[in-house]
Amino acid sequence: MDLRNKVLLFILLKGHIAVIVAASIKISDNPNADMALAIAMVIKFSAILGLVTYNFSKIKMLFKGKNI
Amino acid sequence: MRFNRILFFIFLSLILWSCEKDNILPDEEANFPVAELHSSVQPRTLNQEKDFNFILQRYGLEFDQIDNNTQRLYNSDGLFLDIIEVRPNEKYILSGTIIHDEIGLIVNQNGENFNEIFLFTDTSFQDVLTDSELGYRIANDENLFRHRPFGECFKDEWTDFCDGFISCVAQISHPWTVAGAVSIFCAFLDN
Repeated sequence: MDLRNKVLLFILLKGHIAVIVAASIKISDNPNADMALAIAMVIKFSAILGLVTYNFSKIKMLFKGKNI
Repeated sequence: MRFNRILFFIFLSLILWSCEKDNILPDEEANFPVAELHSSVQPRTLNQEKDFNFILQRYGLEFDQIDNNTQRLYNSDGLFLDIIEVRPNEKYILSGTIIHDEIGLIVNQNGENFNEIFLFTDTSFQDVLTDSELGYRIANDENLFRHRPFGECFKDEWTDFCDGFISCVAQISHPWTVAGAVSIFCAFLDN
C-alpha cells in the first residue's frame, strides 16, 4: 500500500470520526451541528472518491478478473 | 490538482453558507420581546399530553402560521398573540395582547408582567403555566428531569435527528454512524 492510499484511508477514518462527533453535536441540539455534519460528510465522501479514483485501474482489473 | 480545486470550492461554499444569518429577527422585533421562555427549558422534553386543537376549541381561538418563524393565535375580537420562534436557540417570544381572560395571556408591551406562558414545540401545544408556576413546575416536573429508558431515548433522538436536509442526508447515508452516536448519547449523556 502506497503513501497516497494510506493518507486517503486515514482521511476516511477521520471522516467517520467526524460524522460521529457531528452527530453527537446534533443530538445535543447545537445550532451549528448541521454545518459540522456537512463538513464531516464532505471529508468522508472526498476520501471515498479519492480512493476510488486513485485505485480505479485496480478496481477495473479486479472486475475484469472476476468476469474471466 | 483539479480534484483539489473542487474540494477547495466545496469547503469555501460551506464556510460562506455557514456565515449566512438564519432567521434573525429584525431589530425592532428583536427589541420587543414580550416574554421569553426560560433558556433551560426544552419544550419538547415536557411530556404533557394536551392537544393543541382541543385548547384552540376550548378557548375559541384560531391559529395561523404567519411565516416560518411566527405562529399567531387570535380570537373573534381581533386580539392576537404571536409566538415567534428564535432560532437557533429554540426560544419562543410571545408578543401581542390579552387573548382570553380565562387563560390570562396578559402580555404587555415592555416585556414584563405576563401571567401565563405557553410552552410550544414545533408542532404541538404542550402546556399552559402561570408565571409563578413556571419555576415551580420546571423544578418539580419529573418528566423533565427523569432519565429516559434507553429504548425511549433512542427512538426519540433517532426520530428528531432528521429535521433538515443535511441531517436527513446524514441519517440516510450514515445510518450506523448516527445510530452509534445516538446510542452513546442515550447510554451515557442523557440526563
